[in-house]
Amino acid sequence: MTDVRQNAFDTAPEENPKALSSGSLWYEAWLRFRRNRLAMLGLFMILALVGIAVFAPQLAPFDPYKQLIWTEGSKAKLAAPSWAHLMGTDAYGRDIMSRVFYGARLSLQIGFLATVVSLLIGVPLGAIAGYYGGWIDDLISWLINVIFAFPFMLFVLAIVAVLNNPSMIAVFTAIGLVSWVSIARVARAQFLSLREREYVESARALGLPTRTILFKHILPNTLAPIIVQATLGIGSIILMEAGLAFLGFGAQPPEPSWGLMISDGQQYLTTGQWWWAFFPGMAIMITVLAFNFLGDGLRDALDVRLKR
Amino acid sequence: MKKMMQFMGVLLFVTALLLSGPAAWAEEEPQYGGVLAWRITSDPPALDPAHANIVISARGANLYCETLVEISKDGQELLPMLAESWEVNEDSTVWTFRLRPGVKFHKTGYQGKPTANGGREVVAADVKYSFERLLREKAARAYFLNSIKGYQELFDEKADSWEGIEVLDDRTVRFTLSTPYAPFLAALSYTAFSIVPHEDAEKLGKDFNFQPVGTGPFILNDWKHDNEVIFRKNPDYWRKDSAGRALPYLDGVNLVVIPDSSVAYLEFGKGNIDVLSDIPNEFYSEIQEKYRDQFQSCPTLATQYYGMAVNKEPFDDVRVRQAFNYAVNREAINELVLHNTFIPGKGVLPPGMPGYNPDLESYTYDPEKAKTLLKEAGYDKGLTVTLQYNNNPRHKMIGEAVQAQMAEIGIKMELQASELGAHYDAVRRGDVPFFRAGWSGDYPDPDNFLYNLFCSDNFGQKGNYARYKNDDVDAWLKEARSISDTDKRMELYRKAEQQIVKDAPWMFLFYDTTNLVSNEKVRNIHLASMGEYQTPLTEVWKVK
Repeated sequence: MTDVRQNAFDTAPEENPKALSSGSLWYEAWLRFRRNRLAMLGLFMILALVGIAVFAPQLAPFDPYKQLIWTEGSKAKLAAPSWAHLMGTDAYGRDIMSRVFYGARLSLQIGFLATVVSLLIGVPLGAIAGYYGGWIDDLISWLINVIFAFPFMLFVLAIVAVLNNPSMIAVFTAIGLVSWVSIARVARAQFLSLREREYVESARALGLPTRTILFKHILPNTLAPIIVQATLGIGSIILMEAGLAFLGFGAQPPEPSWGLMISDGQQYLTTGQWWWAFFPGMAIMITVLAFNFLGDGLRDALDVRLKR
Repeated sequence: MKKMMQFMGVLLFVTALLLSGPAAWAEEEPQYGGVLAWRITSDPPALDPAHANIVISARGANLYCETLVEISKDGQELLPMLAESWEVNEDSTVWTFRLRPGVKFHKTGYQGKPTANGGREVVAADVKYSFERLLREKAARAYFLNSIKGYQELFDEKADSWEGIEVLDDRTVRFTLSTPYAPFLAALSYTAFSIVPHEDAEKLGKDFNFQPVGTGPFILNDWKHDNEVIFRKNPDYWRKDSAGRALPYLDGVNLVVIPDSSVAYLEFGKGNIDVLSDIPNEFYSEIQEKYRDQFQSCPTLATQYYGMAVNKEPFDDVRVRQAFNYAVNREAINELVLHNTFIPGKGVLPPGMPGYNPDLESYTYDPEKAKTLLKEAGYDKGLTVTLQYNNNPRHKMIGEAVQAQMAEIGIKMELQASELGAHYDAVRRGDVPFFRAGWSGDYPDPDNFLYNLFCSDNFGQKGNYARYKNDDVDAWLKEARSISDTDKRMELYRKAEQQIVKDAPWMFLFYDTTNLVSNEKVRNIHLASMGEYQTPLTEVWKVK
C-alpha cells in the first residue's frame, strides 16, 4: 500500500508543440496508447470490472449475504468449487463468486471516490503552492512532507481512535487525508515550471484574474501527468482498502469486501479450503494490475519525451 | 415432551463430552523425566498470584503456588490442599483450618538461587501474611473475601492487620466472617489466595512477580519475556502418587509463547509443543480426526452472551429483549459454525455448576414468536441495532451467524469490532447498548455468576453490565449468599435464574467447553473442568 507515494512525474514535461491544437494532441496520444498492448489489456480489464460491478445483481448467481448452511446444512459449508458454486462457498455457505462480484462494487466505489476526493484537495493545493511559491509553498510542501513521512497504518489507527469507530467512514477519511499528497506534488511541480512560461506571463500582463490564469490557462497543460498519477493512485487505494479491511478496519461483516474475505479465509489456507481467500486475492491482484497497466500506458502515451 | 427430548439431548451431549477423554493410559508405569512444552498465546501479564487474574497468568501461577483448598477434577467438590482439614460453626461464620504438616516452601528459586525462606515449613502465620498482602497490594480480586471481618479497615489502611484472620497456633488458622458467606470455601480455591513466604515477598517487593516462590510442584527457573517461561521440578514437593512415589514425574514445564495459532499448530505437528489448548475453529475438525486419542474436551464453567442495556432504547422494552432471544438458532450455530465446541445456552449457569437447572424454562428458536413480540413492541417495520464485540475470530463468526438470523425477523444487526481493553471499558461505563461478553467462573458456586452479574449492587465494573435491576432477584441473591443450607440456597438460585431468564437482560447464547490436544508421548493428562489453564501437571508424565 506504499504505492501511493510513487510519483509519475517529479519533473515538468517538455513544452507542448504549439503547432498542434489540443484535440489532435489527445488524438495522437490515443493512437500511441492503442499501440500499447498491456495498456489496452488494462483498459479492457477495467471495463470488465466496471461491468461486473454495475451488473453485479444480474451476474451474481446467489445473494451474497445469503447463508446457505441454515437451509442446506453442513454440505453447503466451505464447499469446494463446483458447477453450483464456481468459486466454492465460505464457512456460512455464502457463494464466494457472488461475494467477489459484489466486492468489485465496493472496491471500485472506494477507488474512484477516494481519487476524486484526493484530486479535489490535491490539485488546488498543489496549484497554489506551485504558482505562488514563497511561504505558501513552504507551508504546503511542509504539510505534504509531514504526511509522506507519517506511517500510514499509525495514521489510520489514530483516526479510528479519534472517531472511536473502525467503520468505512474512518477508513475513507484516512485514505482521503493521505492520498491527496502525491497528486499535490505532481500538480505543484507542473505549476512551478509553467508559471514562468510566456503565455502565462502575457495572461498576467493582460490583467486576467489569478483564478482564470490558474484554472483556465495552466491547468489544461498539467492534466496529463495528473491523470496518470490519479490512475495509478486508484490501484493503490484499492490495495490500501483491502489491507485495512484485512486488519479489521473499514468494511465490517457481512460486507463482501475482498480484504475482509481474505482475512476470514486465510486460516483455512493451511487446512485445504483455499478458495475462501484465494479468489478475492486474485480479484485484488487483477484489479490493481489493471490500473497499473492503464496508468503506465497513459504515461507512455501522454508523455511527449518518451515519444519514439 | 419436546422439552424433555431437548434436555435428554443436552445431557447425552454433556456425558459424551465428559467421557471423551482418553482412557487407555491407566495401566502403564509412570516414567520420570522429560520437559513438557505447553503453548500460551501471549506473555503472562503477571505471575504473582495476587495479580494473576487472567487465564494465562493463572496457568503459570498454579504451577508454582498452591491454595488452602482445591477443586476436584469434576468441579463439584472442594478438597484439602495446603489445609488438611477444617471445621465450621453453625451459621458458617467461623472457619478453622488445620494446615497440612510437612509442606515446605521452595528451597531454591529463580535461576537456582537459594530463596530467603530457606525451604522452611508452611505455618499458619504465612496464611495470614499472604491474605493481608493481597489487600496491601490492592489485588483486583481480593474482594472475593470481603466478608472476612476487618476487610474494609485493612483495605482503607485504617488497621495494621486483618482482624478476622487469627493464628491460633503454628498449624491452625481461624477466619471470622462479618456476615455468613456460603461460597467462602469455594472462593478460597481461587489462585489469588495462594500461600507465599513472607521472607521472599518482603525481600523482593515488586520483583516477587518475576522471581516468585511458593509450595507448588514446579519452581520458576527462568522467564524469557515474550518467548518462554521455564519451570523446573520441585524436588521437595509434598505430594506423593498412589504408590507412594515422589511427584512430579516431569523434570519441568515450559510455557512457550506462540501468538499465532497456525504457527502453534505447525509446531505441535513437529513435536515441539506437547500441549495445545483452546483449539481454534479452523483446525478443530482436523485435530479431532487426526489426534482422536490425544484430544479431550469437557464443559467448563463459562457462559457466552450478548448483553442488552435495559436502560437504553430499544432494550428498555422486555418484549424486544425476548424477541432477540427467540430469534437465534443456538443449536444450528453450534453445529454448523462452531463445530459443536459450545453447548447451546438456555440461561446463566453452565452445566457442571452447582445449582444448574436442567428444567429451566427458556427460549427456543421461534422466529414467528420473535416477530409477533417485535410487532407488539411497536417495531413492526424492523429495527437497526449495533453489536459491539471484542475483535476475535470466534466472536466474529458467531456475530455473523447471529446477524443473518436476526435479518430473518427484520432486525438489521450491524457488527462493530473493538479492541479488547477498549471494548470492556466502554461496556463497564455503560456506553454500549448491545454488546458481546462472556463470564468465566472463578470458583464453583452460583453466587460467582448470579450475584456478580445480576445484583443491582454490581452495576458496571463489578459485572452487571446490562444494568439489570429486579428487587425480588436482588433479595433472593443476597439471601442465598448469607445462609448455609445448600438446598435452600440452590432453591433461591433457581428462582432467581428463572426470573432473570424471563426478564432477558441478555441474549443467552452458549456455555463454553474447554479442550486440549496433547502429544502422543504425554500420559495421564486430565483436562480440568474449570478450564484448560487449571489442568494439573503434577502427575503428568512423558514416555521416552
